[in-house]
Amino acid sequence: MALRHLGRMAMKKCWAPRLLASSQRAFHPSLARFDQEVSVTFELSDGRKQTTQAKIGQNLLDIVVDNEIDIDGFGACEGTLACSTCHLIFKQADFDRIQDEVTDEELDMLDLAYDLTDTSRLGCQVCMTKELDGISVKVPESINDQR
Amino acid sequence: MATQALARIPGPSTYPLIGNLYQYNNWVGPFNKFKYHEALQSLYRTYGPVVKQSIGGRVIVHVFEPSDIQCVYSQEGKWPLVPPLQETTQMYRQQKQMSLGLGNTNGAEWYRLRANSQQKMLRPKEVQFHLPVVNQIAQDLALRINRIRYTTSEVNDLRLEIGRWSLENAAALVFDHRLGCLASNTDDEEFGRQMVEANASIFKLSGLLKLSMPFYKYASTPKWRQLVRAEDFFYSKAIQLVDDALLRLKDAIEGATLREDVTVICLSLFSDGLSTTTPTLLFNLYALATNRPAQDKLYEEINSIVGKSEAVTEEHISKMVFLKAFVKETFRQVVQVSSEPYLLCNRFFLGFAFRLWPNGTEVSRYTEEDMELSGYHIPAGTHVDLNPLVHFRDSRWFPNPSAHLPERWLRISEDRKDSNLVHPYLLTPFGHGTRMCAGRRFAEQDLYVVLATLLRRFILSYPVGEDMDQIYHTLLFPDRPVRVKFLDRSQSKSMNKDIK
Repeated sequence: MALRHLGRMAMKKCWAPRLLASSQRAFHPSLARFDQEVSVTFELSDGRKQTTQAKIGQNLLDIVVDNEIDIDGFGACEGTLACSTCHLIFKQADFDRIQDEVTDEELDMLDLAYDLTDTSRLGCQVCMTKELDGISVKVPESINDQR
Repeated sequence: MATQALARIPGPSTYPLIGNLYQYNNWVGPFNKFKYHEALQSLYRTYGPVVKQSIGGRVIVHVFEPSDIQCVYSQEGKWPLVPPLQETTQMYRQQKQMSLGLGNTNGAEWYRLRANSQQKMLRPKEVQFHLPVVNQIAQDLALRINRIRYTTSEVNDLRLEIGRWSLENAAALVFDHRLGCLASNTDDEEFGRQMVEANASIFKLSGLLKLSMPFYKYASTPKWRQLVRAEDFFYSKAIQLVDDALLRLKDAIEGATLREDVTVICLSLFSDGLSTTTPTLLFNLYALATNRPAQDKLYEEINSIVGKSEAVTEEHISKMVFLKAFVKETFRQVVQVSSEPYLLCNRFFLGFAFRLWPNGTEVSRYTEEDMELSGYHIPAGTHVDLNPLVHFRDSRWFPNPSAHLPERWLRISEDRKDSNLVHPYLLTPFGHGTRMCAGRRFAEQDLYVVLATLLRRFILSYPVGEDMDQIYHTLLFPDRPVRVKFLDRSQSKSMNKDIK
């Protein structure tokens, strides 16, 4: 928190080391336009389903964290593209509707994910849009479940 | 096959200990300390996919198979435990009561440091914010090379120049301050040289001390004093830069803890990039200069994507797939003879590199749960070293392994599952998971921008018959001046004939 706080303070003063001052994490552009709620269902690896409300523009990692959805080890690196623990599997039609394009950084992380599919994405890189309202995403089994 | 117990894992026999100097004993025995890679290779060939070493009652399990490596990574919790770093710099820092930094801490202390910095350091959007200055510095390097190169198109000391570039990037990033050491101002140039050389001697001396009996621990030996002088110089200047930056921020600073944390992170960022990004760029320049077909292909990509644009933008970078493949292939090629890229993450933030071996090729962890690796039961709390590098020369994993072929890293299909030819856990030079190198995105961005900038301006070539090898200075560096020739691209038609 400290650095972020410091960054914010510093920005007010119009000066700061770059590292401390760069923009706060970017919200999805559509966030500003729509303040409406959408719903997401997480199909957990033990078969349970959990449906939750989310705001447009929120990414799926934040939705899991904010709604305290209990997925073991999910989002370990806190959305910094250092791990692949927020791996989610989409239905093809939903997958095609995701606005955020996949980057090389995300692809490299996905390569390291267990149980990778053609419709896999990292939850931290997918923001909710109106088009995604009502989607159901699958939480893959982890390698630990296999053992 | 039934799972075998830890005790049954094969490995070389253990020898009686000599006091507590065992850690510094040449325990690898028949192997050359400078060629740790070969020692690992031999362990792997002799004993198989899981090898146990027992040193002073401490058991270290070597793991080589990508599937086992995946298993170790995937059982990690939020705060993976990495074995502590024990080396000269740590001793120096302890003597000076400095923080050990991100790489050498575990648990809550590590998490506090990491959580405070990782959003700014790793999120691509945040990292891209620095692109304008990264571009400026890359262009300054190109200008400088153009200015100082001899008529032979070589520069006097490429490692020093690349060191200046790295230092300039680090200062701009961490302190929002241009040092100016790429300009032709004598004082700033000189400052850059002193910092680069102090850093180089810290690494050289640490490597030497690590390889000899640790007398320096008990008495101040000449080498130790030399090391302390170099560290004193480097850190006094670096801390000065931190303090200057903090002074400008003084109203925002609350309390000593925050100040200390900021200092720790700034120091880590400022100094660690210098010893990791520099050799990586040198190896990439060497690889370009000695692989003309790949160089031409890369130039074509850069030309078609960056075009007439003055600067390299994030959009350009996102499209330059061959450039990224090239850098990956250079990591593989360098790793196959050494361990440098592993140290990128080790030295940077995993930071446990040269604890037992002269050069840390491995990524180490204490396992958090029981697991089974290649048929052996590994209980929680075991010190595990991950060494995928033994496969880098293996044609089973890399067809035509001795050739530098960036193409092997290109995704061959849209299908996610089959898009790669290479097992993903074979090459993770920055590590993986919550302890992945915290400087990774900065390092990658710096490399992509500078490689694109230099290639747009120069054709690189290399004197025939001058193969480069590597030398161990705690990390691995080129063992001789990297004699890359920088030929003006605009005059390339007339000079093309002289290249080879």
